[in-house]
Amino acid sequence: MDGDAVTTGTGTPPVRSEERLRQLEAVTEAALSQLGLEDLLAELLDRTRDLLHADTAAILLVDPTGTELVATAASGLEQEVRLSFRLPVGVGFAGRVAARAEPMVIEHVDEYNVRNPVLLAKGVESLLGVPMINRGRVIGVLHVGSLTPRTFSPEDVELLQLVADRASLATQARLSRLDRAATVALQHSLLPARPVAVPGLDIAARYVPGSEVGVGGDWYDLFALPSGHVGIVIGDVAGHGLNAAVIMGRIRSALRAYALETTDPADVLTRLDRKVQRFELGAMATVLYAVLDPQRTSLTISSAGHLPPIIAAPSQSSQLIKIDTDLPLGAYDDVVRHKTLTRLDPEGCVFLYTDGLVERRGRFLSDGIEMLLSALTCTTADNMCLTAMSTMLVDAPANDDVAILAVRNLAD
Amino acid sequence: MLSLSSHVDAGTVTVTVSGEIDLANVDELADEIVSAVRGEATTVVVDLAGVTFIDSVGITALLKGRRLADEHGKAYRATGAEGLVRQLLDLTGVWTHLSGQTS
Repeated sequence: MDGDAVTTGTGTPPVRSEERLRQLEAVTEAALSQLGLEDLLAELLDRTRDLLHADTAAILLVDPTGTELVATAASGLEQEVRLSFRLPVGVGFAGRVAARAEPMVIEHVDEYNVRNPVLLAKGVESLLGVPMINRGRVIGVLHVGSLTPRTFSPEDVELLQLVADRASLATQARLSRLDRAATVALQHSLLPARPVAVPGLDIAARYVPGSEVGVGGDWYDLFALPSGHVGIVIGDVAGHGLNAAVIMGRIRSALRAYALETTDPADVLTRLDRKVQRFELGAMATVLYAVLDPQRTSLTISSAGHLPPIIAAPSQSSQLIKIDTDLPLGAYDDVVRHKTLTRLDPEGCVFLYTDGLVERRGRFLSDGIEMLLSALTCTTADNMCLTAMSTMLVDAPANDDVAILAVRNLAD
Repeated sequence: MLSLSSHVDAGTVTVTVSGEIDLANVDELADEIVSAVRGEATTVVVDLAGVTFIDSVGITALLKGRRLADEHGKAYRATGAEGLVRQLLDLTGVWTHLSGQTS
């Protein structure tokens, strides 16, 4: 028999609502909030079993691809988790609960309506499963089982759904916390507070997560090449959170690899674009790559959809470098990329930034850039960063994340 | 606030966008463009005349639309970008590409 969507049922007597609420609170009390995700779910399942007088309880969470359920916690069925049981959404009991996004009951389990060998081997007779839903999306399935034939009552269904709702909230909160922690760790490892020192250059950089979006895909990089050239990079991977940070890490490291092969920035970005199009499906990024020559007199710049950098010299006003900006990485096949050559004063400065620094709602981008240009002077790299941050971010915190990189030529 | 509407006329579907495009609503825009590209019309026009704010996430959605249109053999162009929206699209070098002035 196939699983039935639940409409009516008889069985255990209705639990009074105050009693149910008290029991539910026993399941989700504040003390649980101190536990890690696996421990929390395991504890929750033990209590759920008591609450519903069930012999088994298990939670399967939808994996990041959205196509498979993975056994994450179980009570009375621990083997399921040890085996890291996986099930396609739509298949088997839990898979069907996830696909339908509604409660289901199987009164008589057999090998046709249940796929999980652990459930079959354990001798589970009856099953009740409910979806775990967060913001309209199924994130997992909670099911309880009985080793003797059982008819689950509508009250049982309702109660299990309440537990699942609490479990969804707790799971989502912990997963986003984990995601955030991982993203921040990744960002820190990839964006050293100060890039590796290069003789003859004064370098400083800052990264600030956005007030609305947290850590994103912005990055900066600076490295000396064996030829004596210096590579200077700023970029922004579209999107936010762990996914954007992971893609940023790969793009950043691929750019370094191509930089070792050619000092032509347009060539580096062409190769990088090819790599992104092939291996980062759907990703898009803006990048500006500038190559400083070994004599430290000129910059060759290629830009993939990135805002133009600023150049300055002592006692001169700061200016945008006029560049031919090409399309972002990942936007289009076989983009012809351009480069622009600019002279750098022996004591000159260059300042690179991401859009979060200058773009605000209701303000022309040119006004933001103008504010930055009039505030920035060619001083120490640290001072330039400080000036840029205090001018642009103090009164109007950025929603988006912000990366900046300042480089000053030190005449010898 | 973002508002979106699409109408089809003589083989051209026009997606009219107005308001602010940001991280919170960019998926709605992307979905609307994808439906337009996958529909019956042979030409997709994204009218940005009513857009008052856009940032990199919005640009990404517009560029992905162009890409998808090419894959489906459809003509695609953005029109009407003005003021600060146009300024950002120009400065990031994507306007000629989106407005169909290149290949």
